[in-house]
Amino acid sequence: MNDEKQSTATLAEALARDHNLSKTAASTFIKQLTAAFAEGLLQDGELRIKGLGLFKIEWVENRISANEQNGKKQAISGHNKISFIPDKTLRDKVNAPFAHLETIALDETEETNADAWLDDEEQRMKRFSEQAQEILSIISDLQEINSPTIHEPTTPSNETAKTIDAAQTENKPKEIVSEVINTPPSTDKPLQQPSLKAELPNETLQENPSQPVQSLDPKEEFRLLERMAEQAPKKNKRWMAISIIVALIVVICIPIYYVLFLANHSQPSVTSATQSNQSTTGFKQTENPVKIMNATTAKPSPAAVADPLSQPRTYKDTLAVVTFKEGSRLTLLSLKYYGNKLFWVYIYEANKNKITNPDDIGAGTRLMIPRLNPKLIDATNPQCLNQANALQVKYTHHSFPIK
Amino acid sequence: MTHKEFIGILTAKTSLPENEVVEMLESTVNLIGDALSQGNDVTLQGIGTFEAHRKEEHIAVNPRTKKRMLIPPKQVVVFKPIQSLKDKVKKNPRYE
Repeated sequence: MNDEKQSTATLAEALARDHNLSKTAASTFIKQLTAAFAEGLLQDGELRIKGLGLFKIEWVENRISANEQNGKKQAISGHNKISFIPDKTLRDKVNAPFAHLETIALDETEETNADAWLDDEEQRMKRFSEQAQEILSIISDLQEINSPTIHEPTTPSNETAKTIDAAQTENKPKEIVSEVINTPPSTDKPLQQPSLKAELPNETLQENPSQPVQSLDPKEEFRLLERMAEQAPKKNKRWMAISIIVALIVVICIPIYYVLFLANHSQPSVTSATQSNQSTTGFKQTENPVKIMNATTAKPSPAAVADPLSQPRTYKDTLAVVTFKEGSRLTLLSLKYYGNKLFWVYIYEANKNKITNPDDIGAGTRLMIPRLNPKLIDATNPQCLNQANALQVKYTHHSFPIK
Repeated sequence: MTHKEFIGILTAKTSLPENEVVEMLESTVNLIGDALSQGNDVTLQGIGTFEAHRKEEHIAVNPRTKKRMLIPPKQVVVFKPIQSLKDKVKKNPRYE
């Protein structure tokens, strides 16, 4: 590639060669071509030359630009410019040296990665399902072991077990009991029993012989029922204990939440919240602690709510000292330091001696940004906002009556 | 202004037969294209310069499919009008 500039003269030479013309004739043709070009473009604002492209005059809107060297902003007023869109033939011709190149997608490696990830996921799912099956088999094994020792099917365990298991466990004990009643305890008998329940009846029969034969009467069943009844309350007690703990945690956490985050809320909301606590915790044992907690939480909260807002504000601690610039606003400072525009009134109060008019502060004024009680400038608390708003009305009203 | 209208103006200016003008214009355009395809710039006095700009290869991302593509280098035409023509156009009232 030779980076030469081809001038009109060389173009005219080539044109003269192609058409058997004199150089001067060719150059005059090109001159007239350019003249016609300018004329045609300015006349219509648009000029299409076949094989070359479309020239168009376009409007550029006003804009602000920055000087490259010193970064100063400068306005550029709207103006016309010439845009050129080459024809496809010209585009292809110019791009001919590179036309054989094609775009290459680079994502092949990443795609394979994605596939690998999917495979991983599938394997994981497989592992999960295998584990689940193992767990299921273990559970069923456990139930098979448990069922004979309890002697009678326990309803809670059978509910969770598979229906087949349930059916087996229900059938077996009945048969065992009937067989034992009919025949005196002997080690030979179980071997004659059907092979279906070969293992399980052995265990039961090894235990049963230790008990007297009469005890297998309905009385024995009563005792078993009693045991069952004893076991059930134990579970209930556990549930009670867990629920009491949960209730206590809830009861402790909610007041803490209220004290920390919503301390400045009005009192009715706190009491209503604690009432809802009582309704949610329906346990007799927990009612007393709840009341105690209510008493403790209800007392400090009104004090906490009343303190920061009602106390006279003093501005001793400084958070920062700011020099007021042109374009600064108290509200913007407030937004920066306190998180809400409304709290500008406190900056104003702190700097009352320097500020005559909060809407017109001279540039260069040094303002003290006071460190405020966070409860006073809690943007989430409507009471804080209300007070700030009231102060705003007061200050702006005093200095300028509303128009 | 269309190609035909432009040829009309050109024939009126050159006082040559129209078919000859069409041929001349075509060959001029071809010559310009040939020069550009070799990476040379072509200056036409009174209009401006047609420049051949080489764009380097780069990686582009399709925003929809997020696919990354290697775009090969290419050569494009850029037209830079001369300052006097720019000024003329600037002073003109808003087109459209």
